[in-house]
Amino acid sequence: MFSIELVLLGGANHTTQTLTFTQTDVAGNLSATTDISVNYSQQNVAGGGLGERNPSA
Amino acid sequence: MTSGAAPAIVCSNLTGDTFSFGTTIVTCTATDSEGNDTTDDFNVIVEDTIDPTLVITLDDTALNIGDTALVTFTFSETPVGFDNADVTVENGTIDTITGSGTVYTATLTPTAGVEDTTNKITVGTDWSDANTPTGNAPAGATDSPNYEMDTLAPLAPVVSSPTNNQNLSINTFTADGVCETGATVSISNTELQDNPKTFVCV
Repeated sequence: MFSIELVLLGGANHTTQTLTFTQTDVAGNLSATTDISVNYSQQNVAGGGLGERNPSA
Repeated sequence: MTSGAAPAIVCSNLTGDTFSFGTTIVTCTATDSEGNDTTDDFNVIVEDTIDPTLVITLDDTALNIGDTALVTFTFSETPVGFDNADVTVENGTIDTITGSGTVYTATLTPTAGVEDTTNKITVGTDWSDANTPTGNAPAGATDSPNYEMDTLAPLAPVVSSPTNNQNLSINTFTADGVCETGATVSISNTELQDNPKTFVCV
């Protein structure tokens, strides 16, 4: 079993990325691959930092 | 031949000679002081009473996908009639045996798709040494040291999350799935923060 955190870099935003999974057993034998495609589009975050506030508000 | 002084005796072999395996006819002539002589012969038979032995070695005893092993057969005496037909290989095959004298070799290729920790090569008894006309057969079959085999590739990891074509709204997410315990899992993509991301499956 595995559960591992992954982080996509900024260049992946608004793209489809294919994650390729393989495993190598203790004897050194390599498995076939499992490919998983993900569509990454970062959500816009409401509000923002102080520098983004409307000074007239 | 007259009695009295001991006759001079000359033989075809000298005292201390080493005789080869098999039968050697030794001829001796005795001559007395009067010049009378007589000749006779006798057989010296040297038998090889020691059974030949064999040691089998492998230069690799943990065979994985793509591996082969050099098998060496070292005999105590030059064998007669030794060939591939005398050899049994578990979970593998050997190519044509080559060699001369007391040392012969072959290459072992493991069978694909096998996981087996107990394997051996066995040489039967249908060969003999060459030291007597009939030859001595070995006392019994000869086994090699054990060799382990893993030529079975692991299954590809089963990924339960993310699912294929899943939409991600944030750049940090968790990949979940099933792998083979002890295996090293690799996740690769050029846009991953760590590429490839590798870890040992638990």
